[in-house]
Amino acid sequence: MLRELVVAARYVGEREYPQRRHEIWPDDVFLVSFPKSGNTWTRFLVGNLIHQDDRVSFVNIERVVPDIAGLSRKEFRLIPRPRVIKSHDCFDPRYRRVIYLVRDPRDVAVSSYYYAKKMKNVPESTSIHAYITDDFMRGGDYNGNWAENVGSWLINAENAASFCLGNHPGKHASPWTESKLDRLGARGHGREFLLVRYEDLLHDTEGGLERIARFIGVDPDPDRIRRAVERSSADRMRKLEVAQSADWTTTKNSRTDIQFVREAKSGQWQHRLAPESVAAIESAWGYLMEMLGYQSVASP
Amino acid sequence: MLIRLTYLLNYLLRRDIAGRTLIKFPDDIFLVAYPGSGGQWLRRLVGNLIDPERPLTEGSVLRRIPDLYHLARGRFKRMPRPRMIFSHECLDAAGHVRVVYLVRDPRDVALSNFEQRLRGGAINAGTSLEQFVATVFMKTDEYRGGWAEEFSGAILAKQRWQRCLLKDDFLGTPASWGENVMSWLGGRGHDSKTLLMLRYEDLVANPVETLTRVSDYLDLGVSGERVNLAVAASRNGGRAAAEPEAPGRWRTRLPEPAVLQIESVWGPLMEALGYAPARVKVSA
Repeated sequence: MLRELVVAARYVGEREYPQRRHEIWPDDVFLVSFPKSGNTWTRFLVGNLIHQDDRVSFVNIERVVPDIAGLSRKEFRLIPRPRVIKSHDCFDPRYRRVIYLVRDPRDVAVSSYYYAKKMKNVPESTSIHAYITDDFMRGGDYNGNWAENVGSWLINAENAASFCLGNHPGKHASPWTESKLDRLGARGHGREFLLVRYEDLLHDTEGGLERIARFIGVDPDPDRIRRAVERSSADRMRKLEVAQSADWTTTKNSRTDIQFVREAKSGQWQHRLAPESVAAIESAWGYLMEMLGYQSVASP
Repeated sequence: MLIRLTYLLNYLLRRDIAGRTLIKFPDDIFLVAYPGSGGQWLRRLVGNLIDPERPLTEGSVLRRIPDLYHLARGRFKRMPRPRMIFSHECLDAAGHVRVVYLVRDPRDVALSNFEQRLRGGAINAGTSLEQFVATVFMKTDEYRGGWAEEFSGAILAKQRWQRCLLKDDFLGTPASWGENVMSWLGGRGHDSKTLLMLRYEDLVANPVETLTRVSDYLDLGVSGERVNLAVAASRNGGRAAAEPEAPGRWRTRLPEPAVLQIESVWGPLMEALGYAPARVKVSA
């Protein structure tokens, strides 16, 4: 009953977090990803691209590229349109313009493990393999697991057959090429969709940000893009984290001996994951990894 | 303002309807079907499978396998666990550890959905089936995907009191037929532990075999005898509405432009589910 009174009071004051009940506009752009897929970096990139005079930091990021799960109704209403909104939600039909950021699940697993420790969500003694099989790969959470989140956004009428049980896209398919990425994504009902692989964004940040700029409708001027990339560098973000982590909602009460901005690299799983962890991920989600061009290493 | 205050009162009395935002438990079992997909038939069969001694009636089905959209939050809270819940939602991962999803040929779904809404007064009696498919069933532009939006006409006009049970008029997000199916298939199509996808057409043609799959999936441990009983009870237990609709009614009832529109948007998805498009060549 006490909980209900608190909820009611927050509702009256518009201080509650409506999440799926937030009012959404057709001109909203959503920056969607599974957690730990480079979303915060991309938020910085996009924020610095849009706001040239106001450098993005952990203090203003929630206003510049707000998190749909992190703002109250009142706060959300004050964000000027057109908005770029961050979300970790599985497919939501109301999102009409979607930038979907995806990352190799083996690297996501490594990053999630350190994040879970930082947030004190797992006991200190938990091994990375136990974390991956018992927590990371298990479903039942609001954002789904990696495959639920990614698959719910990448399916469309044309590629649906690959998602049916027993079908494996690699079975008859030609070798993977980058052009296959264009066939993925929820584009129905007049939706606009841009798929960005974190690895590609790391490899060619300016090129990736230019695609994002065109998608959002921001002038892709090379100087502007270069500036945004510089202002969002891992070095700068690390410095900001040291100074501001106590002020940012995400890191406020977390352990400070584990950094939020970690290595900002790809392929870390190769020396952080045991072969059995790699095999578990690949055998469950190999079909999706294959569509995305993330090559499996464990024998099937 | 008055509506919000009345909602708050209902909330404190736990009489509000949470819809999609209902707090789930990991042992909940979900039966999910898009509106017009024969979900009531599945609900009745599964209900009778669990308790063949007391065949479900129109009234008791709401208590034993409630849907997310009618039962008060407090009554959900008091239900014995594991709860079995019926829903029309597109993918919801939270607490959905076991899901039985029923899919049906969208051409029949369009027809069935149209008839349901006509009966319920949710669409104007003058609306033709062709108009319905073009402007409601396949709605694309201003489509925001909210349940209350879709049903707000009915809620506002006839059930003003119902708005007082909903937070911000929100019930859930069933989306369109294709989006609903694809959200589950995309998220869980390869995970036979968290999703059992059934076709309505198989449920009608081979009810015993299909229901056995449900029983195995949910680990109900019931005998073949009991599956037979459940099917028989579902056929005889109710009144005239007990027989499921025959598949393929769209062939004689659905106007060609409507068939074309459905197939042009979802053709390859339909083919993947075993619903061969009739009028459109599917491009590779």
